[in-house]
Amino acid sequence: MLESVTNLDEQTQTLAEAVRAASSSDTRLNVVGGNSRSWLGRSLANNHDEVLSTESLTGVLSYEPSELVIRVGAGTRIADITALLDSNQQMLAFEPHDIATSTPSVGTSGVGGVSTVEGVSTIGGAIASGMAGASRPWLGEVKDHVLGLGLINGAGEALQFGGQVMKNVAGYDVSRAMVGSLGCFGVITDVSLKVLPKPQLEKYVSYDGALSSLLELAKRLDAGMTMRTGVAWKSGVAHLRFSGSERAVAEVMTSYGLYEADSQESEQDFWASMSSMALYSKPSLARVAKDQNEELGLWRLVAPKYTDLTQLFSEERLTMDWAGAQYWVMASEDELLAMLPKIDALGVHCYSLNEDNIYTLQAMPSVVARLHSSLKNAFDPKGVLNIGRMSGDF
Amino acid sequence: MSTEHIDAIDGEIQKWSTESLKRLLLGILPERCVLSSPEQRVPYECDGLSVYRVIPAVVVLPETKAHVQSLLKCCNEHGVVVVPRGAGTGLSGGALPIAGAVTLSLSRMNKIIEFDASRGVVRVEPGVRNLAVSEAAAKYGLYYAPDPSSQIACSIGGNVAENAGGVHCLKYGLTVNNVQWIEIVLADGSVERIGSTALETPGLDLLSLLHGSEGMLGVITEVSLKLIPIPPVTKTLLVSFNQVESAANAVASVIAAGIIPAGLEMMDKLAIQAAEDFANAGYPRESEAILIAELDGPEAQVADELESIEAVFRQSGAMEIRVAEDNAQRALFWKGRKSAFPAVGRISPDYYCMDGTIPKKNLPAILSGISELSQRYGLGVANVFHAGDGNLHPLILFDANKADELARAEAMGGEILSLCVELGGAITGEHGVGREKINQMCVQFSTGELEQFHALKSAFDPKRILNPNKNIPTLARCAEFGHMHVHNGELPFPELERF
Repeated sequence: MLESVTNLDEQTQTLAEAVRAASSSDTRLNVVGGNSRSWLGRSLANNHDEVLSTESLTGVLSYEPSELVIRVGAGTRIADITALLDSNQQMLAFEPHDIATSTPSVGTSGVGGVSTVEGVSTIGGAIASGMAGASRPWLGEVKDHVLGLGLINGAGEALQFGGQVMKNVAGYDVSRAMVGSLGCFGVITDVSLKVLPKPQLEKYVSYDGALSSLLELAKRLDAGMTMRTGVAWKSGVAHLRFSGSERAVAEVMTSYGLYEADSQESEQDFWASMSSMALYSKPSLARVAKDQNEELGLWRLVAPKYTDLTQLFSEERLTMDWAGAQYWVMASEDELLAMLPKIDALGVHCYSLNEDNIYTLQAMPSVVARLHSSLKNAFDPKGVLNIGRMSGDF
Repeated sequence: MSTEHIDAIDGEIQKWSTESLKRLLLGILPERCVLSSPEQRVPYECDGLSVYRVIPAVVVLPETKAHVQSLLKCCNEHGVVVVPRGAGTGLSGGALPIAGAVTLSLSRMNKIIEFDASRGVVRVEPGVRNLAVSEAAAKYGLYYAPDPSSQIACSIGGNVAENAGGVHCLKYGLTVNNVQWIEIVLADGSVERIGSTALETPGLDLLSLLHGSEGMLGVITEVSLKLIPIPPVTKTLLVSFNQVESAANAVASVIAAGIIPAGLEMMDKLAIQAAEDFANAGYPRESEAILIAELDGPEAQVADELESIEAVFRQSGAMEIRVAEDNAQRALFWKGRKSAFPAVGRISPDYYCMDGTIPKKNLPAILSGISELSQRYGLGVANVFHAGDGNLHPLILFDANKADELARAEAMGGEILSLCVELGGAITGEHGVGREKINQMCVQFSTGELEQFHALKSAFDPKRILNPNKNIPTLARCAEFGHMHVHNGELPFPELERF
């Protein structure tokens, strides 16, 4: 069981000292949580960067279920937080990916393989990556659940922003701004998160069907308040997840003419492997790439809701999630570049999940890029933290 | 006043005469967009915090994004300070004009641009009123959830700039949780969309950063709002208690039972009686505290939650639980709560409204602290809370005609906010810092944190032309005034207008 942490301030000061030392000796730091997301963002500009690990920042600082708030060290494993919340019938509603480190069981979906990911997923990494799980279109994105955080800036100052209360508009909202920061603007030391009660139960629906008709169904479901927390599609099979009280879920399924999948267990495994990212892990990708004799990589395409990307990619190359707002696609950089006008017209961002020098295929809009550079300068003026991870400019 | 702008402490602000500004701006904007006569400018001298008044040198009313861009580009080049303003209903002096500067009112940019009903979003100009969005969305079966009490008048641009809350935040979030993207014009006149229609945007979450930034980082020219389906069923409960502590504990028990009500409001005896005199909502006058709880969603879910929440209230020692039978009764239950401020205004010549937040578990502690302070200062306090999210609005009653009462109310307010910070909370939950709480910021944040805020501001607005003396105090100000409110009553008195 997850322990309380009493010496976080001390540990934070030790890390702050390390950042100050790096800053004064012109050393660059590679900020690492559990190192399960090294594929996100660009490869660091300098391979000889010193590693700064948040491993020592582990444990619960405060958790009282009736407050709906948990405060934990940034190096705390997501699995440990989830287990603690679970024992109090609560959850992190944004379902941060707890990336698989061993062979996942993927039931009947027939896809799997040993993940090559090493390390463990920490909460600090989940915030810095900005990636939410399957419930995102309905229960919100990462920032919707962040209430406050501690940050060591590039000058080695340990700062606190936000707090442990639901409402707080004092000062600029630096804590939510750090969602998606990739460790380039500060070392996240602790986070305060909003938690929610777990639904009484989850029911799963699964059937063979076209992606386009699933999206039509998702639209109809969204027009009512229908307790859905997952709409995914892979290999010709639609997967839906409903959460709520037994009566409410039954009512929704009846009114939309949906039936529980025969094997609830295998569907549960399906959603678990979405969360662990096992379904689209590198080995399974490599197998397909080999079959097709192409240089394919794994890309995460984030779109507006109900976007149908089968118009651009063949079905066996993609896994759909978030009711059409997120796709895991196997593609080569060249073919994506060739179809970029179409991708842009759909309002889709392409994130590379490969060990390459690409964060997103599209450059940030110029004003946004300029703001990022100035903010880098405001938070890390000497250029110490994760240089090159987000952008070639900083 | 200790919050009054002082160049030597707050940073120098270039003061322009009305004539020279008018000459400068008429070169780039149509005459109808530039107000310069005294009678045109006086209505803009304050926002909802009307005790602070400064007449702006010039008021500009842009009609297009291009107008905003030209204005900012010009002002940035010439070092003219600009104070953005929405509907002027803010309660912390965020839109308080600055002497010798431009007040930029977005009120003419008030069109609803386009609904995308199937994706549940709407694009609006910043001057659109909050309530107008839900009224227009109703024909699609949708509404916009954040509902600050000023929603009939306040504008969406102002809601974003203040990260406005309301009574339904616990379940549906603040403004920041209900906006898809905004279009912003930076101090140098450049314009960009922040956020996107896609469900994640690469890089830092700049959209969150701009929420609650009080017009200091950029000027909002368009907003894409998330809408949600009007719930099929809504149930409202009025629950009375003979002890304030039981009501406070009931709030925690509701959450512990796994229920997230759409709203969970609390009023104490003085507030109940004032509201009842004013609104005849049928509140039980003999109660020490009432809770108003609202549940919404699909029929079966609400039925389940209703069963559980009634059980929780009974176990928590509720004297009476009433469930509104129809929409008329629902509206009546809410009428008392929503008219609490004007109601209190009738029982006391003046009142000072606070906006602190605390962890819910400390509700009994803050209540007894407030009651102690009330006795010590000899001033009554009516308490209304967004209890579900720990946001307090204690209303300190006093008579401004008695000079010593004003000073006592100010000092007491400062002590309440300090107590909120001590109890693990914040100095403002939804009203913003503006000019009003500029000195209390020194209590909540360290020197390093304040310096980081200033560096962040410079990243967006290097010449500090956008609302430069709000929200974040200078270190010189903290040194001069930072802890004053704890020791004596030098805080200005805000006489608040309420909706």
